[in-house]
Amino acid sequence: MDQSIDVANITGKAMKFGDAMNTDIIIPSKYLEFKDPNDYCKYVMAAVRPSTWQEIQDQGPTIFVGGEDFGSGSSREQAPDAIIYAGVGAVVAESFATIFFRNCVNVGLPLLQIDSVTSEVSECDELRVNLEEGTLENLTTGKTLHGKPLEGFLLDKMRMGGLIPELQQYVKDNQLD
Amino acid sequence: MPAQTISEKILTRQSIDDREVLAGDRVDVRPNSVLSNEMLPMVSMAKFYRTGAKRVNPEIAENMLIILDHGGFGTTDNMVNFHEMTRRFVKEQNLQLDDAGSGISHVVFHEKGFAQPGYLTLGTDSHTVTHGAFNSFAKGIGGSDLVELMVKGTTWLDVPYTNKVQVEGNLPENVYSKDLLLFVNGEKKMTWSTDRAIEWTGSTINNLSMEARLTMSNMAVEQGGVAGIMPYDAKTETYLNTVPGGMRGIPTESDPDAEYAETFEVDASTLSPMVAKPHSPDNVSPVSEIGEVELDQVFIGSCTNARIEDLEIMAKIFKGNKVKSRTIVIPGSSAVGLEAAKRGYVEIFMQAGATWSYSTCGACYGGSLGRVGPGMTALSTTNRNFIGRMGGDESSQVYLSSPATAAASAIAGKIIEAEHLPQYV
Ligand code: SF4
Repeated sequence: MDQSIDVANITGKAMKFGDAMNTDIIIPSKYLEFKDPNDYCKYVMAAVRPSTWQEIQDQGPTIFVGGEDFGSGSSREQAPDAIIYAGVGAVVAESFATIFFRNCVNVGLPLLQIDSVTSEVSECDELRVNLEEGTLENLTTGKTLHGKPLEGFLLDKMRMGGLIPELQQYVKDNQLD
Repeated sequence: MPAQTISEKILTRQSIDDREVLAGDRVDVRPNSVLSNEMLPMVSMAKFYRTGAKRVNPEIAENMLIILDHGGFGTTDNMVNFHEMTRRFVKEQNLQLDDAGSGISHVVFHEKGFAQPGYLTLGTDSHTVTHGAFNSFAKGIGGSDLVELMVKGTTWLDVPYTNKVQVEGNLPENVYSKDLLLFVNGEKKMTWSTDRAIEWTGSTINNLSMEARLTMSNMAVEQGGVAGIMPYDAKTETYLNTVPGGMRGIPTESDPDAEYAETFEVDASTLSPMVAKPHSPDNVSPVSEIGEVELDQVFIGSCTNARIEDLEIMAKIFKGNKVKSRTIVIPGSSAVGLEAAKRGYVEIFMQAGATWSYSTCGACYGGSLGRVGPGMTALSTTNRNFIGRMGGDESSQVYLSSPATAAASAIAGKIIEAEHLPQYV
């Protein structure tokens, strides 16, 4: 969304998903024809949980918690965009697919990898994510989980709100406009 | 310099500061060729303009091929608009376009000579890995990554560790590279090569045709792989002699003592025809063990298995038979379609009662032409059978197989091995 992100303090209510949430589940191809993410985000995760978007609108700031191989499949970056525009502040999963991981950084969707996060978080737990420390604080249980902190190079991109703001600077600096 | 894998060598060559790199390094690179599709109008164009840039980097413009494949001829109003936006952008920026109907990007791209040995190829589609069959490092990127390339001409990559698959022995009759690939998927699962490249080697691989290698590299991403790289040999060279511009790359081998993250050995002679069952390409079983699965539809197409050799295999099985299940055949490109027509395959398919179409991705990702509906069971030669991928929902059962199994099953009306088709000799 081209907005800077406070990567050390992202809070929200947990919404849980299982393993192998591929991009055809995150946002099925038929909705990609709606060019505006504000439109297609309404179908986020609908394949496995049809009420996802409505639930997020009702409960407010949300953090997705997923199992292994979150985001496998297609290279569509509408997948992380659909998650952001639906109102999700971060995705914490046990592992991520390669292209999805990079797309998240590019569009500014904070993500954190934590082994066995699904067994330490229950639906609707209040969570706080800190990408600098690589931690997930479960405010409901009082427990802090440690994952892989995002490296500085990627953290900087995330802070800026993704790749496009960085490229805007590049275009200015190199007078490509 | 320590020993290097193919990936390390190619990324060293393409690093913008001539830096020797190894797995685990991060490197700024300049790609040799770039692929795009409807991701350009859907995502990248608007973001490109938002950066303030006016012109696509000239080197990228020269080496980029855009192929409109996902949206058919323009099957919806939105697609018609996306296609028209692309044509205008292509004109304004002086880019190269294969318009809707020319074929599927991962077939047209190598037919046009954009896939070459030793190349670093980046494309806004996860199946860009297909082009690794030409001994290149070919990787899928996102729409914003393409914007970075269009603005700067370069991007960053993490140099991957490599998993090696060593395959020896002869594939039995009616067992194809798709079966070999599905077998490995079943054993190693979709996360096996996450963040890693895959190299395929061994006598079985050397014996495979270019088409058969392309099928396997195509599905490297279904093993999580960032690239699926095949060796360069006389077959690669023969194919490249037929493309515009001929052979332009640098054949690249791993050093004998290069380090691999993991090596997986397969004895090809023990394999049998395989299917992936709903709803994942790694939910694999031999055809002989799946029991009675009646088919509402058979889909033969996609960047995995719709090249001329695939159509040849099917034509042999279809000849003189009639299909029992609704069957849709879509060639991988218009060039493949033309060749199939010349060889008389189109007549065979249509006489068998199958539907023959112009070239597009079609139902592969649920875009058009043969989507499945709720409750339907389908067999497909494509690469993914995720929930809803080909249309429908959780109740839609999609199986994946080789063209031989798909053709025989279309005739039988249920999933069978080609050798069990009574009429098949
Ligand atoms: S044929 Fe299928 S897998 Fe290949 S590019 Fe088209 S939609 Fe993707």
